[in-house]
Amino acid sequence: MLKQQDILGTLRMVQEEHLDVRTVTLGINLNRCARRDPAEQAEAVYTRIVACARELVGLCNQCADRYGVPIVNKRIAVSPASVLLEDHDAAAAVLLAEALDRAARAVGIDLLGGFSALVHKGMTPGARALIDALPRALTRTQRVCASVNVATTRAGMNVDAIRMVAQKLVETAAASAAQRGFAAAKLVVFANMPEDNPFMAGALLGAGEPDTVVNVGVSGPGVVKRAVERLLRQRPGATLDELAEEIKHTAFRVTRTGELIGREVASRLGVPFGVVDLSLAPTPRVGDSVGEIYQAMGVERVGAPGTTAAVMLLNDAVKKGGAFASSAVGGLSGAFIPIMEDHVLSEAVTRGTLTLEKLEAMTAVCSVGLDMILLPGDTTPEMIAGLIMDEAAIGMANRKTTGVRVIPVPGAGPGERVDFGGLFGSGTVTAPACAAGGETFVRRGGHIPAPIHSLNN
Amino acid sequence: MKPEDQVVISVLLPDRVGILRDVTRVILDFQGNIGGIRQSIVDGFFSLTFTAALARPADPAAVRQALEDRLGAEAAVAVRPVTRTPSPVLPDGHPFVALTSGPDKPGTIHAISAFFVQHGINIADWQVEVANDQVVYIAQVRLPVDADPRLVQQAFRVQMALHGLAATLAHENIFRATNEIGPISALLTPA
Repeated sequence: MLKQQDILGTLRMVQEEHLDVRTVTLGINLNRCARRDPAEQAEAVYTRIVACARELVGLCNQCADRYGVPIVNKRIAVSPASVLLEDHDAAAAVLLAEALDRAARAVGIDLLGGFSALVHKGMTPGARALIDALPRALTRTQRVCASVNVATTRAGMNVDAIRMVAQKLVETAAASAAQRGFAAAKLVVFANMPEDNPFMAGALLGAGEPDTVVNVGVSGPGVVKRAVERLLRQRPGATLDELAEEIKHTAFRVTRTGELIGREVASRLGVPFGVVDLSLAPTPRVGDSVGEIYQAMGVERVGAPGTTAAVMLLNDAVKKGGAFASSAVGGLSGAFIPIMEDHVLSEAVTRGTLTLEKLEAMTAVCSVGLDMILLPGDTTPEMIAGLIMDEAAIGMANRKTTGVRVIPVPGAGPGERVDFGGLFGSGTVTAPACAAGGETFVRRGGHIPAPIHSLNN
Repeated sequence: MKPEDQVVISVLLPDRVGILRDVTRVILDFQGNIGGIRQSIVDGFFSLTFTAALARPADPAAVRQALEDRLGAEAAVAVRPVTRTPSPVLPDGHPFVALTSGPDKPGTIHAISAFFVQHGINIADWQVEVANDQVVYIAQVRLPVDADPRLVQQAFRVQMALHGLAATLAHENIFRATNEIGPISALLTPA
């Protein structure tokens, strides 16, 4: 028989500490949909997605009810759309994006990822067409998310691609000026992009993945925070290694929840189960914040010295707990620092205690990168390219995923508040302490070679 | 072993050190071998239920008297011959955990258990957690195989709310997954 304390502990995690399955993401390979005619191709894509995913939302709801654990988002990640565009132009790319958008709406999901290109070593015509189309594709669609992988530890960094993507990012923000540049929030630029990430906006189905697959993202910053607080109530003098241990144990339980639900959804859909991504992904809701975890640990003002170490501790403990819980842990798995989506981090940026430079340091030890950061409207493509290059360098050198998701808000200056609402949250426009001076370096373009430790055969 | 040599025994008395020793001494005197056994302590009262196979037929009244003599005047003992082995109730039923919480007042357990009867649900285990004036009832139950768990879940929430209770009915796998070590795949039943 189950023990009383075990039952109550799980119930507490779900009902009081906001444990949920943040996303069940169905991966769908679209390569078989390639057609010479763009309209036929778009229709083939639409048909395939609807056929694969028509039961996704309903089955997820059934599983959520069965276990009493909410599944907050049901999403889709497709194979990189650029593969379908090798014989097409930017107009066809927009058509494709619109088909993806229609399909997402038809099956009742809110976001679909995979309007993506992998250009870390070079750029194919299809990748170029996709990147060219980004401003139109992201402003004409509601549900489509895009990503571009510009660097890997193995391949190095494609600076030419970065410059192009940065330009398109600025154009995308400008094209959605009426929504304060929101379209740019649906674009992520990666280094070492994972092929099985279930979280948006960077989800896609990588080349080595099954034809269809279910990947799950669990979150639970509130659960971790409460665990830390409980420990410190019982043991006010608890040391950092004791905190790490408590976080690890909590991560174990959260991961197990995700795998249980993910495997059941996959089984009911008749597709393989892929991975559970244990990422502490906050929402703007109080009590569901990664920043609150740092505060509970003792970093009272996020951004102060010690913050980076706290991020590292949390990220590492989460991974260890997840790895023991399941041999199917993948995706990003760690701690996110999405500024707008975390009320503590957002307030810290507003107060000026959490700077862009400190965030950059934190990205070296968290699971992603510069995420949901508002920039001034006059931010140049060269500045954004420099930001991307810096993040990519951190990722390349440290053999980890890094990413950049920034939104230059048209017409806005530092200190201005912007609210995108819902899960996207709100934030304050910020800028680097030194915004200019690297343009000549950026404009040299070309390719930064892979670091020496990539030669590990 | 012949069925008429088997007995089922329950013992209830204030808890103290040595109860199980005293009980098993008596069974040993009757040359008995204990089969299934379960004990619990509720509010200081020790409760024990077990089956025993006796080497030779014994008068249940004699066994009861022997236990009462050994355990003392405060003990309540029942000894019944096992005429048939009861079949497990809902062995293939859906294993769920029902949690109900609310103010402590008479009639709550009756309301919960009446709901279960209404839906053909069997209670496999029952626990209580009390904090301040709030009580949490935890029942590990089996739903009939042909029950629609979602409908039962919804009805449970609605009916318990009428009694001022918050109610949750969740498949046991979520509790096992988060508290046990072992492959998740082993927990899953066919859809």
